Amino acid sequence: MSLQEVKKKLQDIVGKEWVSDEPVDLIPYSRDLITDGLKAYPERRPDIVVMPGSTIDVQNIMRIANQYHVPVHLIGGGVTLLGGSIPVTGGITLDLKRMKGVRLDRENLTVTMEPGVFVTTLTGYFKHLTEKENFPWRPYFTGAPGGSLNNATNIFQGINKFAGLKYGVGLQNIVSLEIVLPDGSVLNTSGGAGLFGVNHWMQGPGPTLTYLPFFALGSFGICTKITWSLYPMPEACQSIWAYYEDFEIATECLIELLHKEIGRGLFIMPSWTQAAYSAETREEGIRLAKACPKYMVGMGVEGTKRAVAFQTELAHRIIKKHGGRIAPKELVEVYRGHEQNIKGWGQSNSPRLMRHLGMIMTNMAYLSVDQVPEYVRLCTEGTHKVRSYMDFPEPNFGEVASGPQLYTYQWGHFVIAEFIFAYDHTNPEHCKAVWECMHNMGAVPWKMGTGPWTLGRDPFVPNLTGNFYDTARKLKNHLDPENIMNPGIAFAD
Amino acid sequence: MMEEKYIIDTLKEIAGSGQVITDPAALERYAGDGSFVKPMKPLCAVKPATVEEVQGIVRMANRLSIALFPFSSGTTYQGAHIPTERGITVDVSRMNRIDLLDSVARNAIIEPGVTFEQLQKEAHKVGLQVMTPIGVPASGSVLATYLECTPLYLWPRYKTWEVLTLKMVLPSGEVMGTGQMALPDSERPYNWATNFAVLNRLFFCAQGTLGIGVKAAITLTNVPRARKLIFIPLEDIDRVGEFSQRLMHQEANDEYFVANSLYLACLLAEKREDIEALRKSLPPWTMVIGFSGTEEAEVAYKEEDINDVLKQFGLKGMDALPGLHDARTRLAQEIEHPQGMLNQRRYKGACNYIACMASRTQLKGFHDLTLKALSSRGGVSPDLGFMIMPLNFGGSYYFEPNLYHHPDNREEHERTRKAFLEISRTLIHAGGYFPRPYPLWAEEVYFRIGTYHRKVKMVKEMLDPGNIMNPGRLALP
Amino acid sequence: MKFEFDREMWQKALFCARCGSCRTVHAEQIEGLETGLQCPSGTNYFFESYYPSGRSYAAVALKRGELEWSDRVVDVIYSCTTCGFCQYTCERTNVNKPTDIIRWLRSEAVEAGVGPLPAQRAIIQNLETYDNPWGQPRTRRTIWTRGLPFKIKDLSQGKEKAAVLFYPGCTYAFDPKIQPTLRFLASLMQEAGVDFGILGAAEKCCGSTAYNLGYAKVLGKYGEENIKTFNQLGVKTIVTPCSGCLNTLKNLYPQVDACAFQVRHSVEMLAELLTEGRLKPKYRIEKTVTYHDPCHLGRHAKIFDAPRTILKVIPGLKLIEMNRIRDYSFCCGGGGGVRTGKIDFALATAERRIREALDTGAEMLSTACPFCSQNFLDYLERSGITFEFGDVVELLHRSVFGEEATVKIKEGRS
Repeated sequence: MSLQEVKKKLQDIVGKEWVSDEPVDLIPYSRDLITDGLKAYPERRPDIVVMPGSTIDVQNIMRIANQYHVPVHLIGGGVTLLGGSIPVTGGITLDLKRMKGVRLDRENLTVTMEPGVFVTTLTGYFKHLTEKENFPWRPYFTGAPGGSLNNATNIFQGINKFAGLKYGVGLQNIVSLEIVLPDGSVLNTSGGAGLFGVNHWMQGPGPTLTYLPFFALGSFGICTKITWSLYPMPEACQSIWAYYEDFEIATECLIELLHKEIGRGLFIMPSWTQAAYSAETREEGIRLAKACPKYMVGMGVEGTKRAVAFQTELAHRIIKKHGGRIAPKELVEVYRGHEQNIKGWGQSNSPRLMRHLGMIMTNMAYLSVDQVPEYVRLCTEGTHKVRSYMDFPEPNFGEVASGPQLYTYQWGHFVIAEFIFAYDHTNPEHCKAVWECMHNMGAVPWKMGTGPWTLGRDPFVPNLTGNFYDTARKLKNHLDPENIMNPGIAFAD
Repeated sequence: MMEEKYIIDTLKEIAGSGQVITDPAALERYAGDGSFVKPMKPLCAVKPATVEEVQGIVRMANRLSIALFPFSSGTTYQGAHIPTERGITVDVSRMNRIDLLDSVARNAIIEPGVTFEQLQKEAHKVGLQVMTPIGVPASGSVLATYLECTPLYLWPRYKTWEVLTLKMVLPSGEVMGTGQMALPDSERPYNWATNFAVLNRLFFCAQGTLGIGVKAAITLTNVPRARKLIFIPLEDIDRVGEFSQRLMHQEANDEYFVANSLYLACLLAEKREDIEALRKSLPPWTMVIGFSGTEEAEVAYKEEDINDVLKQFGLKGMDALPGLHDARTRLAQEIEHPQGMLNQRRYKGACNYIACMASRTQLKGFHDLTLKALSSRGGVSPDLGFMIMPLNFGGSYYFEPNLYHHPDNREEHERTRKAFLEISRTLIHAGGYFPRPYPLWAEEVYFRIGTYHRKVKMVKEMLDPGNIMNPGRLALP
Repeated sequence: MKFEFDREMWQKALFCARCGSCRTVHAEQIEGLETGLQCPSGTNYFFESYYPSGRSYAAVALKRGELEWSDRVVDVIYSCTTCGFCQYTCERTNVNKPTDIIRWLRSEAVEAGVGPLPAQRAIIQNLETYDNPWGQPRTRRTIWTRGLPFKIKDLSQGKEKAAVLFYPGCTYAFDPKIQPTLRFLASLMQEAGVDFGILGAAEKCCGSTAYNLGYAKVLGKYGEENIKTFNQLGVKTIVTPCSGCLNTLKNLYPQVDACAFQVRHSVEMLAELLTEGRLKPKYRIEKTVTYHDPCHLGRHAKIFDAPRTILKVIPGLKLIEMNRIRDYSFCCGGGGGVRTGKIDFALATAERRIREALDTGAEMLSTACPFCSQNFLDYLERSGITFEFGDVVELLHRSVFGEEATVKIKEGRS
């Protein structure tokens, strides 16, 4: 069947206005900043973009795609910038932005949402509930403002930086999914589908399939509903910022804080990212970065007023014990870029990192906290070896545009370390330098713990995870025998 | 018989001749667990000590199409490990190494034979403790208990993420790690997320049908410097949901559960003879809340936060219980070194629990339905204990009726068995969620969720095409 | 000096990270589900191409020769109300300038001969023929002055002089539904003793509609002519009730030539007159009112407080704010040529905003912009929804002069 015929069938399902093969409509799905610049993955337009309005639409689209062997890719907000939504094999791109349903379950303390719900939409919704309806519960998440809470932040990223200390990574806050499988059937996992009184339990019955699609970038199906846990909206909230010159000492302080099991979010950032997040303009960000000591320990503390008072005092004690300098009040105001995150309203100002030079690259590793200084040392060495990177003129790299970040999860049982640096993706010299830095850092995380940012299609990855890749691949083959779901992205083809 | 000899000889080659059990008396241990599943002895039991030995056993099973039944400590008490007549029990209790005790990350990497008792002792040496279960004794396997999602005392505080990563021997005989354990070179495989997919939770509540857990990275917690337990007497559970959500909103609690007088009496009585009297002196229901801190001031503010809410509802937390002045010490001791089901069994010799989950508004209804189902059978009903654990800040509740009876009394045993099935069925059809579909529930549970069950079946077929791993569980062929 | 769009504007589009900031209000500023629905065209059409990010990607593709002009491309480019929210938020987050990029795209479309949309071409033809975008004879520009109980100075010949040139703009002048706002303003200025005059039929369009459609040369032409006229007449202060005119005269004209005059919006002037005690609102208006910040008055010109000051001094009037106000106000749907080219989209956007206004529980919606007024009134009429509408100026007039006098002024029966 020709694409035109497929297009006609899709139009019959969703309506003509929701299907397009116009180049101007296809182009935004063909690239992002990682295909530019670094050219890490090739640009490719889909043949057709479709906007379903409901789960039934998605099911019908998948049946057509399956029947006529048309690959299907999907996009939520498209903010993750790892080429996950770019249709490697053409075909159909499903843009899920029309599906904007939100359903609150006050009894079970969950919220269920469709993939077109953005991070900020949900933030606004819960702020309203908290302040106008005295409903003191909310989910925790962070992400770029336009990130979809289905496809990006959770199914892919799973990162929950500012609440991870207490509540774990993103997927630890998810209880169930509704997923349309490649054959068009719908699967509700765990307590979903409304068949039980309880919908706030993520396991079972028996083996849980809820977490299967995470990090799989849509390879297993299309998540059309996702149910999150709600957490207490606290009576009080407080941010704590402390300066350190030395990353190792900052880490020691962090370890002691972790062992106290206080706070909701705890992290270390280099001053340049903190400054970039906080400043209104790029110039202000650079000034701020240069004016601050190299690293900041940041902490969000929340709970009852007594809890916040106790935890703040304890945190201050520990910070001072390790030689840290608590940021004065007037500077806390400057860090307003992070304050919303500290307060738990999950909207990341990560786009401001882009503003620094245009794009950022990050090498990420999942570690134990005491491995981090070694990881940082190796990454710093790897970056500093690349003179072409270190010697870029102002606003430069090296000192004010690269550095390690450390986020803590589940009371410090594991952490995520990130070596993050800015570059101008329109400058070929910058891009070349970045590749070199990444290459130098390449072996580090595999030994110490890899992050989810590498994809199956990166040639070295399948070998490094042994049977895990094979098992996941088998599962993929079972669920998607025609290999139509986002082919060539999470799994090598 | 020739085949049997061949099997046993092969197993001896793999695990060592002293590690294959064929003596019928010794095999009794694997035949039953006090559940209502018909006891059955395996052909033999084998006790491997290494992953390679486990692999060898699994490959042999595949070659000869023999069913394997993983066994660590048999402490789920629901018949999940009871073998078929020609099956082989794989007893992994010899694999009891603690590979790593990490006092910085506060994690441990353990093998499946490591018990709570063993790990608790080692963890205490570095100021840490293991999260213990409420219904499983300290002789139970940590890995198996966690894999089966048996409720832990600290779930109300820490949710259910005590297992970080796993290493499994798959039914094919291959070894697979989940999360960071998938990376052979990873020195501290703690993060349970990884690329391509997240498969960890596939193996939970799977009753060993998808593989044998041979290693896990698990979390430990602090031994608190200061801690308190309070007991709040209740006449009924009508408002438990309301109390729980408000109390848990304060985020001050560690342990949190509600028990009726019988359950609590069984749990805490020092001696079996004391249970009956204690049962009578205890209030009909008791809400138990524990909280702790790294210093006294922390415990003090948490107590105030909890009391703020208790006052709103006209409730009061006590240090002791009527008839049990040292309730605090007893419970603290129980939490640290649980006896769990062994204590419950003391009462009449047998105890059978139903693992169900309820929403806040279902609690009272489920309680009433349980009583009704019991009384509808006529005759003398078995005694009922209840344990309710609010989870997810009171968004969901573990609801566990317990039935006590004398196992040697055939009639009582049979009555209790029927009551168990009747209550289970009633709760399932009333919308109760059964996350652990053990043999006596699996059909009914999965009947309601056909699509999901087909996917479970698909996963099973994919991972275990020979259907050798605990076949027949999860309502699968 | 000629006005021109930055030829390298598209370079900035390369930095679009598709973070979504342009679609949403920042968490610290807002509550409510409409937080993620800030881009009028994206909210309406959903395709990526209809969001600022999608248009940035289109700009890059056009420049790289990867995209050719087509009806759909033109539709994408002209389905934007130029509300400027994307630029406001992107400037605080990244370096992109999405609204400027859209205007640049429009200028490219005009140069390529493919833009604007067919219905919008009439605007340019009208400007050429009548010096106003609405195709009305020049003499009709002063219809609004008829029936006023006082004479307004005619500054056009240079014989009469005044401290203030009152510049009504084309939209208020030629639309009978909203003309009364000009009469109210004149009446209030007269009452306050402001020394003002008009150019009458000699007034020409400021060129803002041309600018928004991508006709840089047309803007340049009107800019040169008007600046010359104002300078020659010795105009020192221009007061206009139209924010489109305000932004054009104040921000764009200095790029064309040296301007010897300052430009103010009428609400700024009115707020000052109230503060100075030169206007006394004494009649009560017992209404709850919600105020819509017009994009061009609020976000573009940063005038948020003056209209609120006016509403708050009216005795009996209670002001309730919507969720999305001030810098993050949601567009009425009336700007960017959309009312002319895509009326359905304009009205759909109006509906969204009106529903938000209704959700506040207010009895009346108020604003201070001719395009917002037109679009809201149009939607209310077509939909049959019962919701009162009143321009800020009209409400003030009612409070200063009373109901009866206001009706007379409205109807030109003085």
